Amino acid sequence: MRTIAPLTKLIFTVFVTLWAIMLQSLPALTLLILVQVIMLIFSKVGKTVFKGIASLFVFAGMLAGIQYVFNQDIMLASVTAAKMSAMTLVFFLLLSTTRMQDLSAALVLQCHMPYEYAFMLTTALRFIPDFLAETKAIQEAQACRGYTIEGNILRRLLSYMAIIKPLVLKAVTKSETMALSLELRGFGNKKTRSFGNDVKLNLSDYTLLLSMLMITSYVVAKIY
Amino acid sequence: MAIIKAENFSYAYKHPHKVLDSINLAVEPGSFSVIIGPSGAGKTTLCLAVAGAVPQYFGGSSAGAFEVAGHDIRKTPMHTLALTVGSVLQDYETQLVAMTVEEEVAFSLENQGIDPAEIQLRVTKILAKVGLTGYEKSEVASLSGGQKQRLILASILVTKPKILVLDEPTSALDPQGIASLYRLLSALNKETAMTILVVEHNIAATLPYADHFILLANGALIKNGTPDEVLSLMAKENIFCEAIPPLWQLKFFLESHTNLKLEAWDSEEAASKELTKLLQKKVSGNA
Amino acid sequence: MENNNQQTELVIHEQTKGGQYRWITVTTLLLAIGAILHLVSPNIGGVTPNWTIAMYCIAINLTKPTIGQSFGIGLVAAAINIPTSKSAFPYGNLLSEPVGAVVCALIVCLSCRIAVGNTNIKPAVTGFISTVLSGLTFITTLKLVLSLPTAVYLYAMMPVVFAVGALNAIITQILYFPAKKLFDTKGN
Repeated sequence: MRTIAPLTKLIFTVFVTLWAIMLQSLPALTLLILVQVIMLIFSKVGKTVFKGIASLFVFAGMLAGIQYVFNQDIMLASVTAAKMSAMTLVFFLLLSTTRMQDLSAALVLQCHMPYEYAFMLTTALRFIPDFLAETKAIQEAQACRGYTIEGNILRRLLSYMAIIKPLVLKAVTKSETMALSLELRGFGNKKTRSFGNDVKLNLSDYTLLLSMLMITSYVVAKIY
Repeated sequence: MAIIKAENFSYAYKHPHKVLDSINLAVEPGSFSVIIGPSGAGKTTLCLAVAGAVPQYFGGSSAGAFEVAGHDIRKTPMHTLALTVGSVLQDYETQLVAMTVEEEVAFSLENQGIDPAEIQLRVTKILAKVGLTGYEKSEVASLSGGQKQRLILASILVTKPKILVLDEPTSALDPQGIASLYRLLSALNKETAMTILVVEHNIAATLPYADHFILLANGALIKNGTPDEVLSLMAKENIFCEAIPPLWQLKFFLESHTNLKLEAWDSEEAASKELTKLLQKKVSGNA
Repeated sequence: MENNNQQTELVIHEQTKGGQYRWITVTTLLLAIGAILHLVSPNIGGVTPNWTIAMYCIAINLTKPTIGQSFGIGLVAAAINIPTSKSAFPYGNLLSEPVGAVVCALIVCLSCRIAVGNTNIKPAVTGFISTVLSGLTFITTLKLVLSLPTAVYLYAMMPVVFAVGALNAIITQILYFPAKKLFDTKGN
C-alpha cells in the first residue's frame, strides 16, 4: 500500500464510497469490508488504527440499533451499518498508509488545489501536539485555581471555556508571528513553488485505476 | 559602505508614540553586533525594521531613511529583502510550520521554487552545519527547544542571507545551549563574513564574539561602538548599568579604585590572565 | 554619528498594510485547536459542541476572507478532522464543512450590523446558522447515501443539529470578543 501513489489511493476512496452507495446486498458489502480489513492487515498498520476501527464498528452498531428501534427492519439496519463501515474504513486505509504531506502535495500538483490550503492542512497537524501540551498545562493551572468541569450544563460549558479561551488567545498571538514569519521566509513570492515530494503515478497505479474502473462497471452492470 | 544604514529613522506603531526615535545607525558588513538596552527600548522594532516588517507588515508611521544592502526598507517587498536578511523571531517555535525536520528546511527553498534535487543537497549540508544530522525524518514537535532553534536557524541559513538577525535567541536555553549557539554564530560570522545582529540580555555570553554593541534606551540610539566603549559609557553615565556583566563591574571597580588601566576582557580567562600577570609583576617588584 | 543634534524635520506618514497571510495562519491555528477539542472535549448534556465549526466561524469573523477562500477553509476543516475524528462519513464532512464556512462568510460579508441593544451578536448568529446549515447538509447527505428512514432523520438527527447549533452560538459569541481585541492590537 505504501508504494502506491497518494492520488491512486485518493481515487480509491472515491470508488469505495461509490461501491458502498450502490451495493444493497449484505454479503457484497461484507466482502468490501473484509477486503479492506485484509488490506489494512497487509499494510502492517499500527495498533491505534485498529482501535479506531473497533470504535468505528461500535458506532456502526449504534447506528443500526437506532434504525432498528425506528422501523424494526433488521436487514435494512445491517445494510446501513455495513455501508457506513465500508465507506469509513477506506479512509483509515488511506490515512494510515499515506503521509499527510504527500497527500497534500498530490492535491496541489495533481488536483490543482491552491498551495495555501495544503499549507493549512499540514501546518495545523504540525501544531496539534504543541496545543495538546498547552491544553494540559492550562488544565493543570486551572485545576490549581479550583476550576472543575462539574455542575449543570451551562456551568460546565462556562468552566470549560476557562481552558479554551487562553488557548484561542494563544493561537491569535501565534498567528501574527507566523504570518510575519511566512513573509520573511518568502512564502508565496513565486507563482511556481517546487515540491520535494515524489507523488508520480507508476505503471502499477494505472493498473489499479483500470481495475477500479472495471469493478465499477461490473457492479453497475450487475445492479442496473 | 554600511550594509545597514539608518538616518534619522523614527517609527511609531501608533502615531504619535514613537518606538524608535531619530535613529542614526551604520552597521558594517561582516560585523557581529549585539543590540542591548532595557525592555521597551525598541530592540525588537529595530530588528523588524531590518527585515522590512516595520513598517511594511505592521503599518504605523515612519520617518527618515533606512537602507539594508542598498534597499529602501519601505519600498522593497519583504520577500525581496528576505533574500538578504534572515530573521529568527523571539517566538521561533511558531516559525516552524512543517511536519518534519527536512521538510521545514525544504520549505524555505520550495518557496523560492528551487529544484528538488538541489533542495535535497542543500538540506543535508545545512543540517550537518547546525548539528541536526540524523534528525531528517523526525517530527518537528518532538524536538527539544534548543533543537527547534537550530532547526529554524538551518531553515534560514539554507537561503544564504547576507545578514542574520536574531531576537533574544537564548532566553529559553541553558548555559551550554547559549555557549554553543554563540560558537555557531561566530563561526558563521568568521567563515562566511555574514553580518550578525542579535538582541541579547546576557551580555557576558556575547563578549568573546561581538565586535559592536548597540545601546538603545527609550527608542533612542545612545551609542554604537566597541563593547569596551559601550560598557564604559554605561558605567560612566549610569545607563542600564544593571546589565553590565559582573566581570566588567569588577574591572570598572578595580579601575576606579586603583590607577590601573585594564584590557577589554572578553572572557574570564582573559581577565585572570591579565590579573595574574599584574600580580606577578607586583610580587616581583616587592621582592 | 550617534548624536542626533541635526534634528531633521520628521515627516510622519501613515501606512496601512498588515499581513496578507493572516487569514491563513489564524485559520490554521484555530483549526488545530478545533481538532484537539474534538478529541478531548467532554460532552455537555449528551451533545458535544462542534468545535471545528466554532473555530472557523471565529477565524472567518476575524479575518473576513473571500467566499472562495472560505470554501477552501471548509475543505481543510473537514480534511483535518478525518484522521482525528470518528466521523461516520468523511465525504459528508467534505461537503458539509464548506457549506458552513461559505454561509459564515456570506453573513460576515453582509455589511449590516446584527445587534441586540448595544451588543454585537453577529458571532453568535454566524455560529448558529453555519452550524445548523452544515449539520443539515451532513445529515441529509447521510440520509440519502445510507437511505436512512425519515423517522431517524427527523426525530434522532434533526434535534441534535439544532442543539449543537445553540451550543456553538454561545461558544462563538464568548470566544470572539477577546480574540478580536487581541487580533486588533498590532505590534506588542
